[in-house]
Amino acid sequence: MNAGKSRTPVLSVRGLSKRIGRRPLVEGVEFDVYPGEVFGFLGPNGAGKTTTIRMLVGLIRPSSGSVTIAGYDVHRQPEEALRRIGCIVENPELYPFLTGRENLLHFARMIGDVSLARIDEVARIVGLERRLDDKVKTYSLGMRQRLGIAQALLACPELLILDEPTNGLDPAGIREMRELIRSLAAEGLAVFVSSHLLSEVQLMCDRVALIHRGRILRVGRVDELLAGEEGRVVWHVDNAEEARRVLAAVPEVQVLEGDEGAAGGEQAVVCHMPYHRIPEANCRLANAHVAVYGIVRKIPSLEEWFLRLTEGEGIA
Amino acid sequence: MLGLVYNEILKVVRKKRFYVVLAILAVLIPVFTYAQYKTTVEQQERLGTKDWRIIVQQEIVDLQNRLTSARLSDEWRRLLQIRLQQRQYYLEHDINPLAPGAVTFARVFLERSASLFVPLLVVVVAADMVSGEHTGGTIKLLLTRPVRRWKILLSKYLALQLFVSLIIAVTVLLAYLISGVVFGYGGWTMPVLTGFQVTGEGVLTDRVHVLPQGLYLLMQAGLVWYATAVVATLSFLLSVLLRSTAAAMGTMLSALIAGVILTEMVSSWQTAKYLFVVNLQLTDYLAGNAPPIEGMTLPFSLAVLGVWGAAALLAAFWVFTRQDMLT
Amino acid sequence: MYRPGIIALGMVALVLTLVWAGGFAFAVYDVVSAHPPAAPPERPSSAISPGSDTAIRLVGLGDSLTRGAGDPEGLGYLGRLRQQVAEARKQPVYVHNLAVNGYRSDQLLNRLRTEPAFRQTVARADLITLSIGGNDLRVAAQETGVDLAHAQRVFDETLVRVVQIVTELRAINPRAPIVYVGLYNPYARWPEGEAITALIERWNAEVAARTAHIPNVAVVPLVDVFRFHLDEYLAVDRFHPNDAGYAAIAERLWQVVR
Repeated sequence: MNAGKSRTPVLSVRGLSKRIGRRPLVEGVEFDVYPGEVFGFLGPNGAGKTTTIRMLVGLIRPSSGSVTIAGYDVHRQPEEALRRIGCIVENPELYPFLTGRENLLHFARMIGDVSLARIDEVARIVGLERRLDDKVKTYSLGMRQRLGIAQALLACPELLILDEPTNGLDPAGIREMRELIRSLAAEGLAVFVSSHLLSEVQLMCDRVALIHRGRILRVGRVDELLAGEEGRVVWHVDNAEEARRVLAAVPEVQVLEGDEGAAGGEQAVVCHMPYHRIPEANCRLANAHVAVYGIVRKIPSLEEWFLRLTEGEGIA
Repeated sequence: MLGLVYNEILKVVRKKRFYVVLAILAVLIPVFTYAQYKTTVEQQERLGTKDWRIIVQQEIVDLQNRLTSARLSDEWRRLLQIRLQQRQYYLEHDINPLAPGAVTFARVFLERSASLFVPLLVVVVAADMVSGEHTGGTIKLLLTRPVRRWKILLSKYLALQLFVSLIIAVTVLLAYLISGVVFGYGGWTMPVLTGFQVTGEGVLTDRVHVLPQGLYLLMQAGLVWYATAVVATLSFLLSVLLRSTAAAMGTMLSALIAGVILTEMVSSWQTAKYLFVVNLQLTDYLAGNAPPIEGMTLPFSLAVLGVWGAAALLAAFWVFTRQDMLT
Repeated sequence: MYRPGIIALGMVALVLTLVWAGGFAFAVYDVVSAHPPAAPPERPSSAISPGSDTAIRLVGLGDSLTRGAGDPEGLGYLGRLRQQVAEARKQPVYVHNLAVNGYRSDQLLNRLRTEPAFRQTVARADLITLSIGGNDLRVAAQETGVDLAHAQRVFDETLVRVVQIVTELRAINPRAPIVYVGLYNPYARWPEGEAITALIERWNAEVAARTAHIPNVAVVPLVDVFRFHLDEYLAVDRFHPNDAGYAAIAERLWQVVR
């Protein structure tokens, strides 16, 4: 978690913009990614994540700004820069009419100096060694995703760029993917992961950049960004009316409408409050003879959070 | 670079595009063989002879009679006249222009396929070379490897040109092998006349000379190869521009078919001779047939095709190395 | 890392590319090079091989009458005669129609003397039908109008050539019957119709008289066949016979040759 503070960044983005005609898609994006960290790139769909990623890997030429990978500019020295990247842009689209191994061989031939042993090695890393000689069209989405990562790892890159790597996976697949990404970072790889799910980024990433409408809103450690952020707390109680009254009296607490998560004979009250007020609030409810069955800390949804982040800036 | 070309060949083979071409040939050549066989048999039955001289003689007389019709267009009259004079020359020199045999069949088949059929087969492969990567989304992986874009495109182009050579070879080979079952496998050394010079009025024969049919077939294949390579290059450009195999193929097919129609009609539209489609039948110059527009020559057609091909190649590289892969 | 099959395919394709490039260079050189070829192909001696099979061959020579112009069915008298011969003889009958629309006697004679394949077809014939001379006379009449002296000269010259043609045919093929299909008069209704009929009668008679010494030759006049049936037998051009006219001619010929 504390890796990369002192070292030079693997990926350095400065003033990156892309306009098509007069319409800006991405404006002045800046961030650094250091070795050994998982860097999240968080934004709702349509925020400019994919355009930015395509500029990172040289698929789109930026209108202005630079992308530097290990000291090489992606658009001026593409061969040196791309040699240090492994990436999946959007879906892991490989050649369905070739086997997994043939796909890996295909990209190995493009890279140049990849040994046959390395192919077995990356297959083992992503856990695909048993299906490697089957045609890709017989693969499930999760297997394709893993084959995509295998090909990204082929050249022993310093930076891995993954666009929505858990998209379309089942819960077990998502957990596997998360573990794989963490283990790759633990070996010193820098991993850049885009996502539109805050929960996913929270679980997977060390630092995160928030992008909204083509601009970076914040860059920082995930816990730091969320700290100070008023969380929502859901109280599961027997008497919602009484609970509302009690909670409203607690300092810094704002009771919201609605009864999210209510089930069975229970009732629920939702409020905005700093987490350090939870013991006090709980104590007061107990004193008022309100039975508390559960207290749930809810992270805000990305949209809510973004709305609040952008409210002050007058963008929204 | 060799690794990249290898990759492209592998993909064409494994994508079964080349098998489609083989299948088309394997189905159509027997059909044409049968048609040729029926025609020959019918002619022999009608005239009661297998003596080609008598058959050619009858053909000459029939041509003469068609020439007496007042309703002939000047253009058509000239074509018939040229054909008539050639037939007479063959007859006078006791050389059979139609001797049945697998080599003759392959020669005639290739000649008739030169401006439409062989180009169509090549388009099947060429139109998919780049757009196929767009359709499958694999273009993103391809272009994020540490290889410059022009090298990727060049490897694809070289692979395509290798397939052009293969397709022509397979066309000749299958025509030879399949028709040989019916007509026999001989005819390599049979004499074929070439060197007819088509002028405004008729045919000059002072430079006519004999070539063994095998050599003639090789020369003809060389000309077809050149024209087809240009068609492949143009399809390749469309494949870069349109990003959809179906659109690239459709566009190129329409152009080729329009070309065939145009070739029949354009004799009085002089400017049409700068269109590539009108120049595809290079074998006409070898066989001494009248070109679609008066005054066209082999060097002229080669130059027109060359300019089209070079321009298409430059455009393909220019676009491909600059374009943003937005989708 | 590389499959030998794909590598072999690539190598074969590379070699083929070189082969085609070679063929291309050869072709361009052959078409473009200014040097005339060393030796133009020799004219072969025209060995005439006799027909070997048992089929009957009808050979038609001459002008549009033999060609069958005006017949919507395209058979002409020759095609109809073929049907009758085939029915009667129960043998395959082949037709070689070497007639050309608008042919004149000089053209036919020239061809008969110079074209080996033409001669060979005649040599193998079992029956030769011939219609020639009509175009010579018609052209002369249109050109000269009232110049009777010139018309008479053309008449005489054409007659000589027709006899030469029949003689030549006899020389090439000593055994097949030769039938000269005489002229008919499509202009009988014209004011000058009777004069033209007289001329045509004289022509047919002259041809018969001058070829009488050649064995196995018959002249079949058609003036009488068409005399009372012009409306029935003439095609829309009012010159060539129609299908009924050709059927009548074929019937007449069949009576002669059967």
